[in-house]
Amino acid sequence: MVPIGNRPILEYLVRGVVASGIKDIHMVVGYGKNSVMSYFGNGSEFGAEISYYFQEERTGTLEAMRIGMENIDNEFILIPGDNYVSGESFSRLRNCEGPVLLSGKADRWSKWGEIELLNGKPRITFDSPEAYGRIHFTGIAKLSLSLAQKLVEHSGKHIGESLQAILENNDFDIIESHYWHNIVYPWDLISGNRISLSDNLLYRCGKIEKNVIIKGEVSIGKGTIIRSGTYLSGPISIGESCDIGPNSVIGSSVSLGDNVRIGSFAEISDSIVMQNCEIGSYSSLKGTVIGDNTSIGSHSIAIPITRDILYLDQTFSVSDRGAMIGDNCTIGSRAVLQGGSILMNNATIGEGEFYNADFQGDNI
Amino acid sequence: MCGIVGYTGHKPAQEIVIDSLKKLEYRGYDSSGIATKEDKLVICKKEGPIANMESELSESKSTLAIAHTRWATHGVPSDANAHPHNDQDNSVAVVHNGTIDNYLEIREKLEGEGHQFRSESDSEILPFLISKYYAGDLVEAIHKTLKDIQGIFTIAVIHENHPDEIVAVRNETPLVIGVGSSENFLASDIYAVLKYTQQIIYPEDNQIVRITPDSIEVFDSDLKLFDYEVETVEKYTEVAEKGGYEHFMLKEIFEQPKALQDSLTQLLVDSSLENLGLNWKIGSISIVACGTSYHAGLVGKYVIEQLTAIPVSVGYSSEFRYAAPVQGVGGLLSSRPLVVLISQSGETADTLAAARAAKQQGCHTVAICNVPGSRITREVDGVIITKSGQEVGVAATKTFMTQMQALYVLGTHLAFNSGSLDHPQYKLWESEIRKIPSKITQVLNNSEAIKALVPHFVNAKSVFFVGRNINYPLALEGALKLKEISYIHAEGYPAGELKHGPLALLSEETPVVAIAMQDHTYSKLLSNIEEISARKAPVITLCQKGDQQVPKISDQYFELPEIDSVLSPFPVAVFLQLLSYYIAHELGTEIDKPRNLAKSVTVE
Repeated sequence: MVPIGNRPILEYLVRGVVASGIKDIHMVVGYGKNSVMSYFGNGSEFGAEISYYFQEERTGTLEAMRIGMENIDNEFILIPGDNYVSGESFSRLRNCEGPVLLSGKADRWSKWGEIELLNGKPRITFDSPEAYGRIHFTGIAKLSLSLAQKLVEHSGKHIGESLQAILENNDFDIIESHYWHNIVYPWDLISGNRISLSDNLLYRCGKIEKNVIIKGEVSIGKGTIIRSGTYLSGPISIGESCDIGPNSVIGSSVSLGDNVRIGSFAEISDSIVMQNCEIGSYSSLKGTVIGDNTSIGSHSIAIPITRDILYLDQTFSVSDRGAMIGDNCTIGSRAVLQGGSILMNNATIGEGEFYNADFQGDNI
Repeated sequence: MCGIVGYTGHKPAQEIVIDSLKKLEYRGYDSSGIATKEDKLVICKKEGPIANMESELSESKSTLAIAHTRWATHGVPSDANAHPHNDQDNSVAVVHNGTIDNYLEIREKLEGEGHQFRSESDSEILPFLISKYYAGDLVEAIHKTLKDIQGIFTIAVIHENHPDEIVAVRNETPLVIGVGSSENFLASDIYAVLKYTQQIIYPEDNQIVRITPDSIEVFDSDLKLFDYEVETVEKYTEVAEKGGYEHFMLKEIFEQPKALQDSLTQLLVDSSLENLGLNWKIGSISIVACGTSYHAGLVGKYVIEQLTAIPVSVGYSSEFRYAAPVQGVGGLLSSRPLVVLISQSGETADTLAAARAAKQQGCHTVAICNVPGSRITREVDGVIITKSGQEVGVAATKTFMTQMQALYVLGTHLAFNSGSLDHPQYKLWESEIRKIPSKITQVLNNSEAIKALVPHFVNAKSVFFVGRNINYPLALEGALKLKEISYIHAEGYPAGELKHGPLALLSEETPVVAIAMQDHTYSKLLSNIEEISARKAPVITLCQKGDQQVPKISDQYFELPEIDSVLSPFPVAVFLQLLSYYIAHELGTEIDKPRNLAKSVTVE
């Protein structure tokens, strides 16, 4: 339920599916099911009819599909929940006859495998090391019940693997996704945020004081107060009950969750600040993700530099990412978080400290 | 209690009233029934939940219907005692919520006139009286009937000669009219009709209402037409459906962060407290409520006294209303007492009566209520509306939280007004209160650890909850939650009181839940835990993160996120709710509809 553009990634998928004319959604939930169910309810708020299926243990995507297939008697579209795909892609899938795989241009390896066309027949491979610009499987597919049962029989933890086995004997269509962003690493959230904000739901509530300048698409939730002298340049999405300014600069591509407080003279761009955070005055944040309930003292800095990040034994080169900060962190005044550094949940950074560390331990 | 609904319009009425009636099941669920107008009046009624009755229904073309769900007062739950009731010729069908005090007298008189009664219900006299007085106009017949009966009631009536007309009247119990286009609705509360319309009329006591698909007439007690007002109510976006959760209660527990957030926006950002007019020198405060709301009131006492040093007393509504006025009433208006009434539904009969008693005694009354437009909000001087959304589970969860929050905010408001908090302190409190949703989210995320404690309780015959200071009310609330949904006997005690009696009951079979927060009573509570352990009772302690002492002396413990101890009732409440829920779940009880209970208690 991590938000990009102030809404969980799942919500974009649900809205996309509904926009393509599909209402009946089976959601397979496991870990964290309560927050998903609380958010979506029976789906009526999103124009969908959502029923829930429970995967109590993490037994893989194939098992999840088997659980969710219950009560389906013909065709269905399978969607892993960590992909951002624009709604347009679902309409394309829906308008296609027969089984279809949704492909996308990769910017790095996707766990679903690469799609190759061999003599006009699609093949899923996992052997090419080069990924950039190649066509990958997004994990999203339109399947018939009988095909899905075949997939389940070819046991494996993973849909890509099982597909590889049955592709030879079954005809699949391949269509290209309109937009695909696979969110795996923390810094993927920043680019996800940029894209999803272009899909911003516009609303303007709350109280906007005199001399606030608003440019571009800016959404402001109810109960929020934007204080005088603040400069907002969209796309920006601001949640409910926030308190911003006076004299702060926000934007562009910024998502602020509910109940976020930002002091005066702060500057924030290209960032996600999740709910209940507090950011002190004169702070400067760019390309930064901040988890729930984190507080940042005044004069703190997190701005990008070009560097390599070590993440679970892999190295990634990033140039436009600031810090990735977990939930419930406390960061003292005048702290400097170097671009690309990752801070775990519940961490504390003292006043005036310089922090630069790679990923260690749990996911954030 | 009991819930009633009615529909007259152009669509098949049966479906609509059954759908609406399900929204009222929280008001009672021991039997239900429906009356429709086919060629003649057709009544179907059944003991048990609405589903029992629904399965007996045959197809209906009627565009007129009234229906009822019952919580037994006069007569056991049975098919015969279920509503609607009709007269001997089956020309009139009546649903009734409330009690008729002089029914025995009327019944004897009617029996003397040769009428035969088929049930033990007080309501059955109504169709007989109405058909006796009927001379072509239903409103007049009801007007005459009203002169005979005493009690509290909402009545809705249909007659075979009036195929598109429902006539209704209320006295003290709730009734709302929903205004549609070419169709109109009536119900016990707005939730039952919100799906169809947001245009609502709230009739006053003893006004008779006649609705047809195209007209609504409201008559006053002299049968003169009354000029009513139509109000537009805010639509609740969330629908009262379980959305994947096994029980409403669990769903509502997990909705608490959002409920608190929404209520707080209303309180802090919209400054709704400014409109309460509380800036005089308040001499004393009484908080009056029932059940779980009473426990919220007790927490409020600790907070408000700490913040303002104004003495606060907390009373049960059913006691307060009959208590002698001792609060310095009739003294100086400039220091008159403030009475805060807490009622989730705004319809609780005892709390309503307490509000009237307080007003009569010259107190300033403020209600904390979750249903906008409900009865109590119309009778008091000021209203604080909590934004929990509809709560369906009978065991109160999210409304308890938002009631506590409202009292905290009220306390800071009073303290700031009276000068006991300066502006920076006030802002600090505001900022701390804003953090509550995130703190309780952390407890919710740890629900599996709470589930793991269940085996220590399932075989217990009795469970004790102890706490001190601001968490003493939470001990009471923990015990109440456990009793009402798991049927395990439980008691809440101030930890220091155990040695004055209850220690005698402790043994290896009576688990004790202790709430040990880092406040000035912490060390005392630890010695209380030692006393309990010495009697071999298993101790399950709630402590704050990083507590070094508690793990050493407790059999089990659960760590809450770090929080100022004055705000600890919020995460503590979440823990206690989840604990009760999981215990009840393990025991397989009816969690959302505990036996003998109903959500909104509109009888004394």
